[in-house]
Formats: sequence, C-alpha cells, structure tokens
Amino acid sequence: MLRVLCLVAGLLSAAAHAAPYVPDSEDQVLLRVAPSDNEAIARLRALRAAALETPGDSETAARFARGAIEHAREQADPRWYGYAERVLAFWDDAGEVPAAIRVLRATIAQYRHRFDRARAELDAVIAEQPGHPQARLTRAVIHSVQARYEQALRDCAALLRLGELLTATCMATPRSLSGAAETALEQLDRALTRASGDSGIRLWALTVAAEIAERLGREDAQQRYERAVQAEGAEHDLYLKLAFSDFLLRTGQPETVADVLSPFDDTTEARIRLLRARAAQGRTVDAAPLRSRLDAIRARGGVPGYREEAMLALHLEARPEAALWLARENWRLQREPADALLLLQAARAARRPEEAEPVRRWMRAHGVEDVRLEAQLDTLARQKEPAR
Amino acid sequence: MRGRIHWLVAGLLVVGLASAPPVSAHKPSDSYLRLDVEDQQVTGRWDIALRDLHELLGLDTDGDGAITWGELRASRDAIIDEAASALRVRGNGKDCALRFQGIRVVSHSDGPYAALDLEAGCPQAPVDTLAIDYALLFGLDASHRGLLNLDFGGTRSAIFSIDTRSHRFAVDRPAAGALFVSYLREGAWHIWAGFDHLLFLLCLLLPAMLQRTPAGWVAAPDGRAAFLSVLSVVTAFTLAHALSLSAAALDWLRLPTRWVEAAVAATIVFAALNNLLPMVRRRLWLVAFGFGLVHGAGYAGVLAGLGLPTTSLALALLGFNLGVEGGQILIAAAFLPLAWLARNTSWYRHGVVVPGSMAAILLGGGWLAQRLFNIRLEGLW
Repeated sequence: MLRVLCLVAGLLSAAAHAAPYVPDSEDQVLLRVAPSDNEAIARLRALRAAALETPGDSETAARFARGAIEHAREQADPRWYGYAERVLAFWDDAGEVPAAIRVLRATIAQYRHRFDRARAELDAVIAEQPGHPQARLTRAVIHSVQARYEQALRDCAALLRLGELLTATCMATPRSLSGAAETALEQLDRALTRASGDSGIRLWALTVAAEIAERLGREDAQQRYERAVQAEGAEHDLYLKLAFSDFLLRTGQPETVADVLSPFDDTTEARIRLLRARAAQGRTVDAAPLRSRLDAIRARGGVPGYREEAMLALHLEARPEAALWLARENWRLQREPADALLLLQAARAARRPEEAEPVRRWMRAHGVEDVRLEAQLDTLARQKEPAR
Repeated sequence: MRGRIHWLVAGLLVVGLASAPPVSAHKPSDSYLRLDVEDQQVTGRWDIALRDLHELLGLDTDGDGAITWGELRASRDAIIDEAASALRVRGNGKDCALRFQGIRVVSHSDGPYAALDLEAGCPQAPVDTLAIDYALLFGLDASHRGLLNLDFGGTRSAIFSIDTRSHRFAVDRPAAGALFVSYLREGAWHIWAGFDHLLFLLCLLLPAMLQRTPAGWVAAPDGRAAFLSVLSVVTAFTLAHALSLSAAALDWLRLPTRWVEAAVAATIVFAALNNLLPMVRRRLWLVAFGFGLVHGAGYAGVLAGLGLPTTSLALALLGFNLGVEGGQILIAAAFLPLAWLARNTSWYRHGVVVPGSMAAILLGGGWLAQRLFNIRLEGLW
C-alpha cells in the first residue's frame, strides 16, 4: 500500500512541474548532444542498428552491449543500459543462451543492484566454463559486496593465470575485511610495483589500496587517493571520484570536492557530495531539486537506490529516522564498509544505538578492521550510557 | 587473447562499480502522459524527452551538437507521427481518434521534454472502460517507462513498460436503483432547503380548509370538497413544476436565473396576497399550474448544481421530481390535518392565516426587490 501511495505521490509530483512554453527564438538551444562528428557515438549507433536488425546474432549483440555498457559508465548515462538490455532481450526466453550474453545480463543486473539475478546468470556460466574470467571476476565482486568473503576469494583465485595484479586486487578487499587487512595491503602494494597491468586494472588496484589504507587509519591514505585520481583513466572513473570525495568530506576538506567530481557533477551521487561540501563550507544548500530527482526515480519503479536516499535524508535533509530506515534496507542488500558507516551514522543521528547491532555482528563475525567504524561504535556506546 | 583482456579490463571497470549506486545523472528514459476523460472526449499532454526523440529521429539536423527550437519545430511532423503510432486509446473497446496539436517545450528534473498537446474523440458516450496501449521507445530502450496520470472518474496512475504495454480502466457507475434513490433524496431535501418554495406552498395551504365569504374566512363546510380542492391545486402545481423542471434540465428551456428567481418571489407575494384579498377564487388550480411552471424553472438551477449523469438522465429526473413532490406531499399531509382541526378557531383564521400571509408578503417582497435589483441584504435573507 505504501508503495502505491509513494508511486502516486511520485507520479503526481513528477508530472506537476514547470509549465510548457514556446521558446522565443528559433536559435534557442534546448539540449546539447554529441555532435555528428563524434565517432564513438556514431560507431555505437551503427552497431545498435545492426544488432537490432539481426536479432539472434549473438556476436553483434554482445559487441554492442559491451560498448553500450562502457559508454553508459563513462558518461553516467543510464539510457545506454536500456539500449543494451533491448538488444539482449532476444535471449530472454531462449533455451540456449551464449555465455557472453549471460555475462552481459549479469553485468547489467548487478548495475541495477539485482544481485541475485546476476549471481544466477554467473553461476550458469561458471558451471559450464569454470575458467571464464569475466564471470569469475564479476561474481567475486558480488560475493564481496554481500560479505561472502570466502566465496569471493575462491572466485578470485580462478584469475591467477591472468596476472598477479588482477588477482591481488580482486582478493584485497575480501581479505581486508576478513581480519587480514595489513597483509592484503602489503600484497597489493607489491603487486602494484612488480606487475605491469592494464591501466584499468592499475586504477582499480590503486583505488582499493587507498580504501584499505583509509580503513586502517594509515597516514598515507590521502596520498594514495591522490595518486589514484591522477592515474591514467581516472577522469572517467565515477566510483573512484566518489570514494575520494567521501574521504575528503570525512577529513574536513570540502573545498577540493568540486574539482574531484567534475565532470560527473550532474550525476545524482555527485550532487549529494557537492551539496554536502557546500554545506560544510558554510554556504546555504537547497536539497529540493535533488529530492525531486530521487522522487522521480522512485516513481518510475524498479530497484530503489537506498544508499543515495539514506545519504540525502541523513546529511542534507536532517531526517535521521528516515535515514535509519533507508540505511537498514540498504544493509540488507549490500554490506560494504561504506554501507556500514552509513548505518552507524544514521543510528547515531537518530539516537538509536541499538540499531548498530547488525554492523557490530558483521564486524565480529569476519574480523573487519575499520577505524572509522570503530570510532562511530564508540560514540554510539557512549550514547547508550546515561549522561553524567 | 588481447581482445579478451581488453574486455576483461573494460569489464573490470564495470565491476568496480558493483557497489556504485544504480541511479545516475540523468535517470533512465521516462515519458509523462497526462489524460483527462470528460464524457467521450479525452484531452491531455504527452511529455517526451528531447534526448529520446533525438535518439529516435535525430533532431540535430545540422549536426553541431546543439538541438535548437528551430530544429525541434522542423521535426514536428516526424515527432507527431512517432507519437501517434506509439499510442492507442480505446473507449468501450472502440478506437478513439487521436489528434495531436502543437509542440511546446517543458522542463523536467532531468532536462527538456517536448510537450505534445493531444485529444482523442471516442465514438461512444459515455466512456465506461478506457484501454490505453503504449509502445513508445520499446524498440530501442528496454528500460523506458511511460508514466500515466489519468483523470477518469477519479485520479488514476499507471506505468507502461516493455513488459506492460497496456492498461485498462473502468469507471464505476452506480446501479440504476442507487442513482434513482440518491436523486429522490436530493429532491426531497431541496424542498426543505428551498425556503422560498416552501413558503409558497404554505401560502397555498394556509386557507386550504377555509372558505371565503364576504365576511372573511370561515371554515369550509365540506371537508371532502376542501380536500379535493387542495389536491387539485397541489397536483396542478406539481405537474407544472415537473414539466418546467425537466424542460430546463434537458436544456429545452433556458431562462435567465435572475428573472426566474424574482418570479418565484413574486408568486409568493401573490399567493399570500390572495389569502388577504380575494383576487383568485375559482380555478385556483390554474394559478397553481402557472406558478408551478415558474417554480420548476427555479429548481433547474439546483439540478445543474448537482450535475446530471448523461446516462440515466430520465431516471435521475424522475427521481428528483418524485423527491420534490414527495417532500411537498409530506408537508401537506402534515399541515392539512392541523388546518382542518383548527378551521373553526378564530385564532387560526385571524392569528395564523392573516399574519402568516402578511409575513409571507414581506419576505416575498423583500426577495423580489433583492432579486430584481440585485440588492444584497446581508444576513437577512
């Protein structure tokens, strides 16, 4: 029932915005798009047309879907996920689905936070081809995000023959959350100096290393982040930029956040950090446009972005109870340290220290080492004690 | 091997985002469809993102990376063709002719949209079921959604997706019996709420059980004759009233409200005056008939306020009329026995009939003046 109400409210509010108008001049620019000489887009569109014209041609379909997903990521443009899905739709009810198609479907599912669906696809691929590297890698990450560290490590191990750096990076996060954070960081650093790797793998490795260093409370955490954002390919890496921005906000350095996040500042996730940075610098902040954006997204249905909703509620709207509920829902879906931190912060803001239990349990069960989480837990423990 | 590594790397970057949130800049593609159903006419607006239209039709005709108003207008026909082929509206199972008017621009939270004004004429009235089939962009984008806001006997909303391309809506029409009863009640209620009609009726009924003599009012000798006389008056009034009410409700008769209301007030004055001065003695029923016509026309305003259903119009009218008549009969039935019992008393003849009629003259006269000359006497009337 609540969903229906939210849906109606969202629909009604989403549609009730500005009034239509007739622009004054013919030359008024309404929208900027990629110009016709943009080869990358032209190639993609041609591939899309070809794939749509010959449904069932799995090679063309896979080639287009891969390109579309990459483009979607780089431009933070979700429509291209939709185009990829459309091309892959031919295999929705097919009996035999090629592994490449399955892996692509899993990638999109994972992007949409449909982790169970992604796992199902990957399980099918790996059952047939245990050595399929992409499937193993993607599944390893899903396992890690959902706190199944042993399974993640097993999948990472299958990547050994593809290179030391790749394997070390894959293993680093689950290891660091299983009581072996120092070792994991050391191994990762060694692999970074020793092994050469694709710029993409290097970037990933640098990001993970910075994250582990921050969790360990190391002095060089900031340096590591800075090295990562200067590495090759970093301009297109939204994940890294968001991670670094969060670090800057936590360590009281809001001034550099805007620079770090460009050119992704139009994305919802970046907007949240930008507004937080502005607020931290003492400027007035209006979260209403962001709120209406999230409402519009929720109104259209699909898996909601609990993490973003929780962040908005907690940091920008001063709604700790709502933030707590959202953070709890988020925790059910994914268990990264960032999700844990969000839940603890929300529990603290809502003055409900007992809500920190799930995080405490998770930390104890696996041996999670994270100084930020421990600091939050301390504060929450003191909240439980009566004021003296 | 190289190719595989390449994809692996690209895949990595995707994988690295495993924990990145699913929402991004622009959200996935949505269109907003707003429809209002009134009788057999559907009007509305369809907002379609310029990004999507560009992907479908290529709006940037000069390829400079900027879509201008001029370029959008130039693509108007192509856009309307696309929209018309992607939407189908059916009323009671029959296709409603869809027509698009102009294009304007509207801003939503994620950028500019083309606002297409549209209307659809459905062949059958009233529309009881509405079926909408939606197919925009599904050939290109599996994540596109059409968000529908519909006013069809209440506000409804629905979402079209690649897996759900149709929605049907039905409006609840009250059963004939329930409709009849509700209008019956309205009719009866308005007798009470319409003080001026009530007053007129009372003026007619005051001398019902009396007889006029040169000496003034005396008790009517023949109770049955008196009763029949009252019956004829009330019946004539009722019949005339029903006639003009129905005529006005069906729009066969259109009279300016101000004059009708004034005339109603005048009938009160006349009826009351008639109790004091013998103006009309015989054929009172004829006068009642004439006045009934006036009062009926006055009621039409009330019915307009209630809103008549386009179906079951006759039933509603019948119900309303019967309600009014029923109310009148109740009042008469309540009043007449008392009048009969009191007919011999002098306090009735002199204390009720005369002062009552004079009060009615004052009230009616006041209303007449107010309605004729548009005077407003706050709080008094």
